[in-house]
Formats: sequence, C-alpha cells, structure tokens
Amino acid sequence: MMTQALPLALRAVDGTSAPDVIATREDERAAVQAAQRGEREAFDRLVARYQRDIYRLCFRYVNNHEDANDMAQDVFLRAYKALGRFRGDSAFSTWLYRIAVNTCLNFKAARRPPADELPETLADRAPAVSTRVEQEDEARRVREAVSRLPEKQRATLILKVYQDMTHEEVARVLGSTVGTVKANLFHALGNLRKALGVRTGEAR
Amino acid sequence: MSGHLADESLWDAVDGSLGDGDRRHLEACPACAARVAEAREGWALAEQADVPEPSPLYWDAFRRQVDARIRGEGSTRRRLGFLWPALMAGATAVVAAVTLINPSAPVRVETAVRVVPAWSPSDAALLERPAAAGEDVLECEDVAECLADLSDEETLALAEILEEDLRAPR
Repeated sequence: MMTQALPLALRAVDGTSAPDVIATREDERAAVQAAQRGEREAFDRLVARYQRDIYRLCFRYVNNHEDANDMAQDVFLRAYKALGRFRGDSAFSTWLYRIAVNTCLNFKAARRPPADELPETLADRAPAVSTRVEQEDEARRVREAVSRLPEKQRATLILKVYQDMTHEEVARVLGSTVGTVKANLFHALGNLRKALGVRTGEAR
Repeated sequence: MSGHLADESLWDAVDGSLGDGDRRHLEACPACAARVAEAREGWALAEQADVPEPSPLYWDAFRRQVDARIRGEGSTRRRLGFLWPALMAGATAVVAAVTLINPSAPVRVETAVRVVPAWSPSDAALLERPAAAGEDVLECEDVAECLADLSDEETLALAEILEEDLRAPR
C-alpha cells in the first residue's frame, strides 16, 4: 500500500506531447520500474512528466533559458544513470528534485563566483521603485533577485512558492526539517523584498 | 530569545497557520507584525515573477536531446566496458610487481584511495568474453596508452564503470 504523498504527480503537464502521459501514481511507479529494467520508452515518459517542472526549477536558479535547458538535461541524465539505485524509499519526484537541486547548486558553483550571492541578511535599502510588479522587466528583476538569494533560502523558496510543495516535501528534498524550511522561507521572502528595495506597503 | 516570535512561527503567521498563543503575541507586538508584513510583501513579489514559457515545440526537442545524450552515454560506456578486464589485469600486475619487489613490506592503503579487488579465476572469463551485440571492441594491448588517449568524457564514463563494478558483488 502506498502511503507516501507524491507531490505534483497528478498535476497536468502543459505543452507536452508525450506518447503515454503518466496520470496516476500507479502509472508512475510502473514507469519507474520499467525504466529500471532498461525500457527507454518508460524513462521517456518520466522525462515528459517532469521536464517542465525541472526546467522551471532550473530557470529559477539561473534566470536564463540556455543554462536552464542544459541543467535540466543534466538532471535527467543523472537520474537515468542513477535509476538503478532508486529503491523507492521516497517518492520518485522527491528523489528527482533532490538531483535537480544538487545539479543546480553544482552548476551555480561552477559558473559564478560566490560574491554575486546576496548575504544571509540584508539591510533595508528601500529606494523608491515601482509600486507593483506588473511588467515583464519587473518580473525579470524579481527572478534575478531570487536567483541571487543564499543557496538554502533560494532552494526553499523555489520549491515551496514555485513548485508548490508542502513544507514536508521541501524538507524531504533538501534533507532538512520542517522548522528549518519555515525559517528559511521567512528569511528568503524578507531578503527578497529588501533586495528589490520595496517599502513597506508597496508590494501589493 | 528576545521574547519575539521565532522565525518558524513568523512564517506560520505569513502562511496563516499561527497558533492562538502566538497570534495574541503578534497582535500585541508591532515589531513581529512588521516582520510578517515584510515577508508577505516578499511573497507577493515572488508570486508575480513567473518563468517565461518556452514554445510547445520545445518539450519534444528537449526529450529528444535527453534521449540523444543517454544514447551517447550508452555507446561510450559500451565501448569502454571492454577496458575493464584490461585494467583488472594491469592493476593485478602492478600489485604483483610491488609484492615481488618488497614482499615483506606491509601494504598501506589510504582511505581515500579505491582498492582494486583481488583477481579471481572467474575474472579470466571476462578477458575471454567475446564482444556482445552492439559492443564496439576497443583494442587495448597497452593499458597506459589506452588511458592516455581517453577524452575527458570517456575518462568520466570509465570511472563510473569502475565504480559500479567495484560495488557489484563478486
């Protein structure tokens, strides 16, 4: 009997035309087992199921399509190579996201000096900026600020806010605790606001 | 502790799941209330920054690229798989040579160094194994020369093959 929550497993996959869409937990479990037996078509279904989520996660880290594309491919390549070691102790999605976060962290470490990253806490610089983030250039500015958050805060924010995971799921992916996840979320949002220089009451 | 809410509880306030006791504190504490308001503003900002959606055609191309990379890995691994018996033979020869030169010297192994398992009679079958269907035979009379000619990608693939074989029960 499967009791573990399977985050995102039933979410619709937009914009894909996979031959056989994974629609249920049973579908996914069967696809994982078939892929472990070497059936490439089964792994292709898993790629189709998660490619958008993984790509978007990667994009949040690097804030550009080219790197996000490379990173997302790396994630699935690593997953394929490690598939034999996946024993089903956690949900496949948790395992895959863990690979994705590690890939993102390694990619960032290799590509960019740590000096670009924001400090753990920020002073409130509060310059006058636009009152709402409505334009794409503003969205880009927010994404850039997210991509520069300290690693743990960034990973936590991305998984919780953008991947819509529960606190427990985020904790499992990051190998952390729910308490730490909540604390990191709180700091991440405060730092994001400060990095964007928003005055109190301006965001909404 | 300063008497203010912990970060975890402040997040619960942002998330709307704060307990009654903490809620009473929040209502009476302007400092905590201000921090919660700031975090809510941060969340509002974060939610408005969506990722640009690639073309629908992108996802099919993406899967093809992943598939091509997997196939590339597979061919590299098949080709390099034949190096394993040669490397086993080479490693055994090195160990044997060291033992012959100084048989009384204790063998000292650093923990960070992988140890090649002892050669067993069943390994001979590997050396004599014909190429399976789809395998490319890599002629490799001189192990050192073969290794020197490997590309970075091939070296990485070989390292993975060795690691898997070392882990496999013998």
